[in-house]
Amino acid sequence: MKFLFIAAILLFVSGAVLSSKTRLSYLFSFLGSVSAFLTGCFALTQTQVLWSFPLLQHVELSLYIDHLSAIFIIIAAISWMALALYSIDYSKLYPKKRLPLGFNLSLLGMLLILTAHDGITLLMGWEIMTIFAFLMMQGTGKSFEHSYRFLAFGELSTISLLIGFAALYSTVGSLSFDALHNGSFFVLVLLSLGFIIKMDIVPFHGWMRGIYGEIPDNTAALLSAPVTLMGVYGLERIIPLLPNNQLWDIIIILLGAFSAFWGGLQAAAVDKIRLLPAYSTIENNGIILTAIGFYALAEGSGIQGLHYLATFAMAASIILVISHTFSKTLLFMSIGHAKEAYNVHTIDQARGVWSGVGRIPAIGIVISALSFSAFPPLIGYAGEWMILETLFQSYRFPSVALAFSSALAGILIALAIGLISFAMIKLIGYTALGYDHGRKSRPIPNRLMHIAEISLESLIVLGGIGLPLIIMFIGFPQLLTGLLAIPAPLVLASGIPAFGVISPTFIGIIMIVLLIIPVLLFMKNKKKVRKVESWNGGIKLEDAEFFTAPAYSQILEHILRGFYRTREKKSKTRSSISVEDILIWPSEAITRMVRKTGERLSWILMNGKISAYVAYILVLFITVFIIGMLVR
Amino acid sequence: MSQWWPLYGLKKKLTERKEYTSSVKLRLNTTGVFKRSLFVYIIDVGSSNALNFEISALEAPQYNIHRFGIFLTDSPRHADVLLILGHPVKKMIDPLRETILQLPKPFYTITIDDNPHQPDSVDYPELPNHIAALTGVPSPSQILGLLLDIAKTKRKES
Repeated sequence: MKFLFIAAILLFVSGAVLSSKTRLSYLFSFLGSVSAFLTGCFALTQTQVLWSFPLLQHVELSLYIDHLSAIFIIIAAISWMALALYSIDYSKLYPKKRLPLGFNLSLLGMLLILTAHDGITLLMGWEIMTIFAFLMMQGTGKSFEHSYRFLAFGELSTISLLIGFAALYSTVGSLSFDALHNGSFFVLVLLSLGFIIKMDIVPFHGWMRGIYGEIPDNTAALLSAPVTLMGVYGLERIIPLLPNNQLWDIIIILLGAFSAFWGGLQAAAVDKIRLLPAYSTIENNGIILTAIGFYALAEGSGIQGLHYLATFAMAASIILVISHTFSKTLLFMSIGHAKEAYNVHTIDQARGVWSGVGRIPAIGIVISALSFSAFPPLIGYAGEWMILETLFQSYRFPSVALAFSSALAGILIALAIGLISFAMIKLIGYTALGYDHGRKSRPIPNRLMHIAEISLESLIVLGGIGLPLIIMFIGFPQLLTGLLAIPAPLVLASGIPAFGVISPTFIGIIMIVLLIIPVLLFMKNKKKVRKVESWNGGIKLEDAEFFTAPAYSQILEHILRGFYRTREKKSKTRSSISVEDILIWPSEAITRMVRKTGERLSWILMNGKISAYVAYILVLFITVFIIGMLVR
Repeated sequence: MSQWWPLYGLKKKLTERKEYTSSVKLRLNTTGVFKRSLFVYIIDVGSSNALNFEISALEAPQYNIHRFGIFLTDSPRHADVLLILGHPVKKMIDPLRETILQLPKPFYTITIDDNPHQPDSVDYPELPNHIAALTGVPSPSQILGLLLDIAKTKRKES
């Protein structure tokens, strides 16, 4: 296993070194991901120390791999493999050196995070991942300001983690994860805040609105799926170890639920093709955060009867993580494929992928969007059912406040799932299966893209039908039973005494069987179909006269105008409706303030007068000198 | 004197005729599927307004085509017969083609050319299932007779 791990690291490094040959570099990152995947598979059964290096007396850099790491490495590596395959084809369209360099090294950073067993290694991995993701974002060379915002949020999370680990060291005297048992409330808040920021939970999502339209495809997918996965991993790692605090758990649950609601709400209104999945990431990560918070609350309460519920919440969070990572990677890849083929930016312009671009990306969009809309028997259905079942068992808590806050979170998440289905219909109905207006896409190299898309599509479908297998694989076989005619491990039970059960396997089998008859009937009496344009008095419809995606969202934007700040914009020739995300205002205000301060400072200091410049250098020199004296 | 006009109308039997006949010979064999109802979509491709008056008379109480199960429809997607009024002008050729594309099968097309020698006009495009071609301005009863012939509807005796 050590050999595979070292091989993965070496492959990523050599991929980075060979970044001038983009395709070869991506090939190396693919091989590195395969190697990481195999490492995870071998590590499922046993905990192993991969590397350990004593840095100071009580500080040891160490790389461990245990069951949780193994699960997350496998999930992340599948996403990495798909993305690397996709990028090999994509690099023909976009042959910049910076992208494969950033790609390889951020994968390396993530691998370090997933195996780190102490604060310093984790922070090293964290910084490598953030900085090289930032490098990738600058690949287009036109979105500097927005990518700096991403870096600012990334560094905010690093600072939060840094202070958290410093606090841990000052109280316990160790940076190892084993020392977290003795950590204080302060450590808990800072560390989990660091991870929450990386998960793009709501007040920390200000950077994404401007940037998702401009960055390269593989970067968008990387930022949305594996990078946020690291935040989830961090939380899943530290929350069970640190001493529990009920207030913080409730805050996490409500923050996650609100984030889910807000992500769904904004996703329902956007018309940019990349921004919709980005907001859906906020929604999904919010749901995952709620599941983790619920686990901490139920497990930390110490009540024996809640242990099953806590286990169920943990399983729910991991199933949601699997569903989100696979579906989001697939969604970004398929959308990126369509977007590159059409060379457009909005949902309306990218209509008709099925007939205009190809069947496989269209199926990719449909399957991932259905998975996010909780369509049985896909894996997203299982995950979202599990979280709702968990939250609606809040009556099992003895305290009214706990029961009320969990039920409130349940309501918000149910709303979020509804809103996200509303949003995903736009992707299915317009982008994937819409009318293509006779547009034809430009030919792009797509063989490996297709392989990556097909493999993730089948994983999402099989993951839903084979849910019992996944539940066993992530280590919760006690949640599976049998009921009535359904044999033993096929039913997933949400509570003891019984609360609710599902069996996606059974639903899948029934759907396939019931589907065969109509399909056979359809094939037998196949009717001739003539396709004509919509009737418009004999006059050809203009593109703008079709029912557009903004028109579809308009009813929601009007009803919820308090949330959206819906305004009508009128000009002489046309009028439109604009909506805003009011929760990015704080980060916008900070950005403005920083820019204004910078401008003023530069105006004072660098005003072209040599005397001012000399004075500035003199003051700096004296300050450094004094600080040096003091430190000594 | 004006109060006697109804009696004059009754004497002349303006609304009721024993038979509506058309002098036009059908170019195609018709099916019996329209016996009970026939939906007609009208497109004016460049007539003088006279034909429109004759058509609107068909819907008025005097002729009352609805009693035979003949209806005018607002969309070619619901129509069985496309009634093309006038000699086409250049700009109406594309809308006419689009309209024909929208018709569900089976359907018939009828042309009523009120001014065959109109200056600056073009020929009809190729019309599928062109069952009858009329020239001049036919009377409403002639048009009704033609529609009844196409639908194979039994005429009601008054």
